[in-house]
Amino acid sequence: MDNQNDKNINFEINLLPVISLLAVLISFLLITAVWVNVGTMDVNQALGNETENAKKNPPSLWAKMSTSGTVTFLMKDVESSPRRYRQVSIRSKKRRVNIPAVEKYTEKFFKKFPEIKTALVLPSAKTPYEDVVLVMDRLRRNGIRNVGIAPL
Amino acid sequence: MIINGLISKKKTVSLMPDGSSMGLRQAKTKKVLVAGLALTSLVDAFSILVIYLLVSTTSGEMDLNTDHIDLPVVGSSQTLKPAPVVKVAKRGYYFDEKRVSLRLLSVKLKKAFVELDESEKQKPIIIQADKKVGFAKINPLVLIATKAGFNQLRFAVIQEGL
Repeated sequence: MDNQNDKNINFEINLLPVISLLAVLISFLLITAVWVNVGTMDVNQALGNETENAKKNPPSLWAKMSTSGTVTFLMKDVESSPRRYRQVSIRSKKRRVNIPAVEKYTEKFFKKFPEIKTALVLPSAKTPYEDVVLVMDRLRRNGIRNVGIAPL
Repeated sequence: MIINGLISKKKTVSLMPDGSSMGLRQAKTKKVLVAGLALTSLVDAFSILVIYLLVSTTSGEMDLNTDHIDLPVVGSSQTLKPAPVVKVAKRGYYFDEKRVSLRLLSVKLKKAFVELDESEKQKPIIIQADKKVGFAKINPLVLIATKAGFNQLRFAVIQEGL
């Protein structure tokens, strides 16, 4: 009688179906998972009505992109800006923007002028969209929060 | 029945008259190797894998259809959040996955702007364009979006290094 009671209490879970179920779930999730991480690069645009109430423009860096791929950096609204940094051109590489050189220059520039937190990108009509985004990305990497894009 | 023989070898004799006699042999025991598999730890590992995959695939608030569009790759980006999406492809402009002309796009964007939450300071719009597209194609979109009232442009990109 006691042996019968012991048999009722001792009960084993069969783990094999659980493992099979988990294996199927994992296979499904691996097949449907998207490993590419899509994000956004946010750019604040000034609307027309804001310029009327604008106070003095903050110091900013403008990145003018030409059709040939040359990027010209201009300091704007900076009091007593050093001549060496007022206008700097970075030549293109195979008719595309030389991104490593742009990155190097922007890093050097913003180390020298950490108070500048605004930048404006002025692309040309033929500038590839990728180059525009990469220049904006390099500006952001150096702590520029306000990156704008000027339409043609 | 066991009988002691002349050579004092024990042998078993069958009790049945026609039964055969056979010599005693030591029973050979076959050693069977049984390997016990710890299934509990396997179940634990699988459960953790499932939870990780579930969390990583559902972390984004929005999914973008990036078929036939190569997005630019950047080092840092913001998380994709819900907003009206405009696609710039070689054939033209797409809003809500439907091809539209610039004039119709302007009307649709103004309508989409009105539907945005008024309390939100930022009025964003997502621009999804192929990396090889010239800026001349994106320029009208920037102008239309700004004119419609969108003060934040979100360019869809791919985050590198993850």
